[in-house]
Amino acid sequence: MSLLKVRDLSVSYGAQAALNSVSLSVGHGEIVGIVGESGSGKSTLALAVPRLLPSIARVTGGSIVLDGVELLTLDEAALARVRGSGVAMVFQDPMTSFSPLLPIGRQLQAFMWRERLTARSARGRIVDMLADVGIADPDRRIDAYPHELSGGMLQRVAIAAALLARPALIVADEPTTALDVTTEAQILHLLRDIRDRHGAAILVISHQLGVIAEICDRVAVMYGGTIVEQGPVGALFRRPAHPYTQALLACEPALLGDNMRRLPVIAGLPPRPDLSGCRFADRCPHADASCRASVPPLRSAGDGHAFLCQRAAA
Amino acid sequence: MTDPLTVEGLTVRVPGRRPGPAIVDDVSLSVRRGEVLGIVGESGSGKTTLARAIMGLIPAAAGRIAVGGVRLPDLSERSFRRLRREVALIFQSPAGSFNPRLRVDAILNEAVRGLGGRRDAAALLAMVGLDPGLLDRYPHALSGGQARRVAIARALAADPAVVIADEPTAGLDVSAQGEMMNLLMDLRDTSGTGIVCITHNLPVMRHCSDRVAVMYLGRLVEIGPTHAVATAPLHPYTQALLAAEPIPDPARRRTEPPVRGEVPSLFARPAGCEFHLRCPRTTEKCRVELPVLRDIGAGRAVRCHSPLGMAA
Repeated sequence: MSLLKVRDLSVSYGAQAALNSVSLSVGHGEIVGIVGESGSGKSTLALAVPRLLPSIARVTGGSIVLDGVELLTLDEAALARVRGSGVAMVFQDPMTSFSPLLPIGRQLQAFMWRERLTARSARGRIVDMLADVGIADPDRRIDAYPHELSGGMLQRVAIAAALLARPALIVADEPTTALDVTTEAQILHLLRDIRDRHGAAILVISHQLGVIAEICDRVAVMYGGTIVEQGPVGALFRRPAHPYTQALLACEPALLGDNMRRLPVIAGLPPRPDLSGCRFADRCPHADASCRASVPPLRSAGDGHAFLCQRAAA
Repeated sequence: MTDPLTVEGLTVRVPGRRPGPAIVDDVSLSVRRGEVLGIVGESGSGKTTLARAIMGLIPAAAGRIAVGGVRLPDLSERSFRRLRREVALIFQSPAGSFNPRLRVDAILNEAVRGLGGRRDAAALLAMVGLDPGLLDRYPHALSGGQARRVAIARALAADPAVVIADEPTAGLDVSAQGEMMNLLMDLRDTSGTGIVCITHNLPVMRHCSDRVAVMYLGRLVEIGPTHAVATAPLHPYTQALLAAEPIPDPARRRTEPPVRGEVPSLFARPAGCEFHLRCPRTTEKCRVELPVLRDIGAGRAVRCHSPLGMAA
C-alpha cells in the first residue's frame, strides 16, 4: 500500500488554477521526483502535502491521504501532529531555514518537542543525528550559529532536523538549488543514503532532470499544473513518451554531443491558465486540432509508466 | 590583431581599514574578438567580483587593464569611463538592473546618450529580436525573457567590443537557458563581439564557449580551449567540477560523490595550493607551496604541481 496517495488534487490562487487534477502516490521508502519548469505547479504540489500552502491558495478538489489519513480535512491540532512525524520538509535555501539568533542545537531541539526528553538526552540525540548526516565534529558544531556554517553544512542540518521527528515522508523542495555543484553531489548522495538507512520516503522537487536521475526511483513530469508523464526513472529517461518530456530531455546540455554551438530550445511560451485541451499543444510539434479540443487521455506505456497525450506513440 | 580586452594581475581585496584577504588574486586573461570566454567557478570563486573590478564598479588593489591594446593609465573612475564604452556588463538579474520608473525607450536612450552611442532604441531592440512595440513598456510589464533581451540591448548601446554577462543562465529553465545563450552566440557571430560568460554552469559552457577559464577561491586554476579542458582537464578541480554535474541518465548514477569537502572560506585560505584539502592527488609539496599558473602550450595553462595526464 502507498504511504502517500494524492488523488485528483486541484489548487488555485484566486481565479488562477495552479494544479489541475493531479494524482501521485509515494510508496514506503520510495524516492519520487517531481520535475518541471518554473510555474509548472511543482512547488504548489510540494507545499500542499503538509498543508503549508499560503492562505490565498484554495484546494478546489481531490484528496491527500498519508498513511490512511485524509489530510485535507484535518484541523490544525491534528495537522500539527502529522507535520514532523508524518511529513517533514526540507526547503530550498538552508540559509533562510534557520533563525540567525539561536545556535542550531537549540533549534533542532524543537523538532523533538513531542518526546519530552531531558536536555541531556536531547543533546545526545542531536549530536548523533548531526554525525549521521555527515557533520564533522558534531559536539562542537551543535553550538554553532547558522552564519558559522556553510550552505552545504546547513542543508545537512536541515535534513537532520527533518529526521529528528522520525518522519515517514520527507518533502524536499529544490534541496540543492542553492548549493554549489560539488556540494550538491554530496547532498544528493546523503538523501539516498538517508532513505536506505532510515527508510523514510522522499518526495524531491527539482527543475533539474540530472538531480532526478541521480536519486529517484520514480518521477513525475509536470507541465502547466498537470502531471503529463510519470513512471520509473529508468523507463521514463530511456523512453520518454510525452512530447514535453522528450523536448526537456533534448534541451539538456549534459546530454548533447560536444560543441553544439547552438542550444536546442522549446519554442513558444509557457501555457496560459485558460487553455483548454492539452496544455502543451501550442508548443508541441505533433499537435493538431484535436489536441486543443479535448483533454488528452491518460495512456499507459507499460509497467507503471503513463502519459497524458493522444498523439504520441506509446 | 590586438585583443579588445586584456587584464593583468588583477587583485581585489576585502575592503577595510587594513585590506583583507584577496577575493580576486592576481588574475590575468584576455578576451579575443569574436569568442565566447566562459569563466566558471562555484560561489566564492571571485568570478562576479572579477567582472565588477574589470568594469571599475569595485576598486582593485592591483592590476593593469588594456582596452583594444591601449593600457588604461590608472584604475581611476576617469579611466573606467573610457573603458565602459568598449566593455559592457550585463548584470545577473536584468529586471533588477532597470529603473522601474523609466520606460524601455528611456532605459535604452539613457545608455546610448551616456556612452555616446549612435543607435536608436528601436534598432537596439531589433538586434535582440524584440518588437519595437515594447519601447513604451515599463520594466514590470516585460516578461522575464523580454527583460533579459532588453538588458542585452542596453549593453549593446555603444557597440562594445566586449560584453561581460554575469550568470546569464542562473535561475533559468533549461529552454530559456538555451535561448539566452543562442542570443549571445549570435551576437558573437554577427558582430564579432567578444563575450565573457561568468557562470557556474559548466555543461552549458561546454557547448557555448570557445575558451573556458576555471576559478577557485579567487584564482585562475585552469584556462584553455573549451573542448580540450572539458575532455582532458588538467587541474583536479576542473575534473571534479565536470564529474559533479548530475547527469540526466539514471544508468550513469554515481556511487560516490566525486569530491569531498566544500569550498573553504576566503578568510581561511589553505596554505600551499588552495585545493589541496579536497584534492585526491595531494602531495607534501601541495601543502606548502602555491603552484604558479604555467603555460603548457596549445593555449592551455594550469595552476597545479602535478596536472592530470602529465608527468609531475
